Amino acid sequence: MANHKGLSPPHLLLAASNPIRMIQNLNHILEQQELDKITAELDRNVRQLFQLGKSHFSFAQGLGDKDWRQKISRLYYAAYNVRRAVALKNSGAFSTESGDHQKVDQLPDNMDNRESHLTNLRNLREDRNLSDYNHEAKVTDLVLNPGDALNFVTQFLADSAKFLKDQGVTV
Amino acid sequence: MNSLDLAQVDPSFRGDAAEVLDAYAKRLGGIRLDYFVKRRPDGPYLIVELVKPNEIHFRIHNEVVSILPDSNRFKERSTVQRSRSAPKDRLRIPETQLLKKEIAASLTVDRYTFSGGFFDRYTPSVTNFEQQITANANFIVYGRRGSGKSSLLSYGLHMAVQDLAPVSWVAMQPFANRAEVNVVPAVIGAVLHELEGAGDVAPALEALKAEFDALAEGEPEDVLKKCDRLVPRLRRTLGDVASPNSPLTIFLDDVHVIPEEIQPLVLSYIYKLTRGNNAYIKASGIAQLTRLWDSATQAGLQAPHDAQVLNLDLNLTIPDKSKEHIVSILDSHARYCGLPDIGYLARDNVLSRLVLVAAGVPRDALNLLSLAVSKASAKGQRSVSITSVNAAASEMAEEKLKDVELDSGRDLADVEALLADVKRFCITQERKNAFLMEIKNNSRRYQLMQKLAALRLVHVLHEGITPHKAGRRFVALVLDYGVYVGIRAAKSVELIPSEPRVLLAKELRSLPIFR
Repeated sequence: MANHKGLSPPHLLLAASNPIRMIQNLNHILEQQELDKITAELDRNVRQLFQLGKSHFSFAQGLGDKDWRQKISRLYYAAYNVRRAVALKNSGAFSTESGDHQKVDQLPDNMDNRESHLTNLRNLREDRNLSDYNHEAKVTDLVLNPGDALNFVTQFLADSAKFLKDQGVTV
Repeated sequence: MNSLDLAQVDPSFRGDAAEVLDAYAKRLGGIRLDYFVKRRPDGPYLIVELVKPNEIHFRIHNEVVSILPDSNRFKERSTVQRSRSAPKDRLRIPETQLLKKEIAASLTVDRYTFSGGFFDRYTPSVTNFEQQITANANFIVYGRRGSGKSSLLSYGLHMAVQDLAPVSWVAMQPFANRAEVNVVPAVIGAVLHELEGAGDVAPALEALKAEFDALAEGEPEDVLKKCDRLVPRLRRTLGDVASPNSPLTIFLDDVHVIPEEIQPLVLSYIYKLTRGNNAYIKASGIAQLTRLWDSATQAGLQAPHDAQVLNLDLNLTIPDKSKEHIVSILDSHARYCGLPDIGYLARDNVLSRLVLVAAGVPRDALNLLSLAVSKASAKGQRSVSITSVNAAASEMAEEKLKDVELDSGRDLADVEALLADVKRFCITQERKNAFLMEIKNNSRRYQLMQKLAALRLVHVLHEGITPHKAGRRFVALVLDYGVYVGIRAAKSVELIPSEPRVLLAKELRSLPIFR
């Protein structure tokens, strides 16, 4: 059984370390109808993760550049949670460990603008650490200024939504 | 000031930064991109700059960081970004150097050009022959040097490979100047050697290849009879490689390099293997130097019955479309190198001149642009100028004149004399670079003019007009710009057309007649 902080049983994401692999390995036991129920539950979690990211994004959109620390922080969490939604649907990967923030390369190979998204997820992660924790930091220290970060996350959300739609999950 | 160059960076970080920059240079053929180190309270951040980075450059960056050891402190703290400020000298920035390198690498297209990203880099032909070249039929692609023959064949090859269909690509250069009959088994041996996707029949093909190789290297006596005996077995074996849904395609690139008298024979033998056997021939050559059919021996490929002709030589008859085509090729190369487009280095009027002096031949345009960049840069110009394009054209004409010696064979003296006549007619007598010539296929002078066209020293403006009496047709031609641009009298020669546009009928009719 998987162990994820903040989730309590019964929960699909606690039932196995990788729900997609679980579905694949139960297809000789369960009827298609039953497998479809598990897929539907997986998709519900994907949509929730995407909505979590979108909620951070909406909050960041309302912030001015003088609140750059909060803006960068929320934009990062918007992108991070949407990336988790994409990874969950693509490969079944899910984690609540802090090391999950390093896994920017979990983006699917066939996602639009994958390479620039991968680089900018890494940049935004470093900028978010600077914004949240470094008392000496100035807005000019950012690699992605607040405007560039907003543009990147807007595109990342659009490309992620398109990827998920292609996988049968409308967000 | 929070940006530093490498010398200003804490020495303990220099080695890490150099490791990243070296990895970039390795992927970019030794070109070192601009960069700076951003000083931040949480430590330095390495930023590589390009005028306009795109997915290609982000991919390179991600590849670079993926191979760095975890101990490199820029592994997670480096990026590629758009340059902060416009460069003072666009012609000397690394992106432009990279463009010149890319152009040089793309000048000779073969099956390996753009390997890995072929379809990302490929620019369709002006006449959209791509749909035809992939059809299940035999084709001969005609075009002068640099017109895109090999590119089009290469497109066909990559499409077939993508469909997991069997292919064989034979560059005919190794058989150049071989007129003896042994060249027939030699080419068949090469077809078998290059065959990809043979599967289970590979051992049988290997055995046949050994037999054809032996014939290719043996005495010429009875070679064709021996080939004839092997043909049925080879046909059966190739038939096992191919199927209606997965036909075999044999690509023969630059057929014209083998002597004209042997070309129909070679093609006839390849045709014996392919006809009705789920296999097709896609060949290329310079039209004026290629002979598909020998009526005396009834051997070869008869167009359009046995093979359809795709002609890439009509670029100056559609100069407006040729300009779009060439600019799209240049844009594609420019973007690959991190520039927004080719307009970043050359204005529209310069590109128009480039297309005209290249006579719409894509490779000549690429070559000219690369030369013009060097010339403009040496003069301290901020962008490519018409003067630098002219100078490049003059230099390239020298190369074309050397080709006259290589490609004219026994016609060398006559070809040179005709060129001198045309120059005198255009520059001294008429002071116009364009002229008409009556189409007389049996006339020696007309045949020699065709050779000048094949050598890209004159170019076709219009294939056939009847300016005066019906029944007498004339071809409209233009003298290559590079042939005369370097001389003093060139300034008084009217440039026709002065812009890449289709000439009106009345403009064509008014051209002087060269006899």
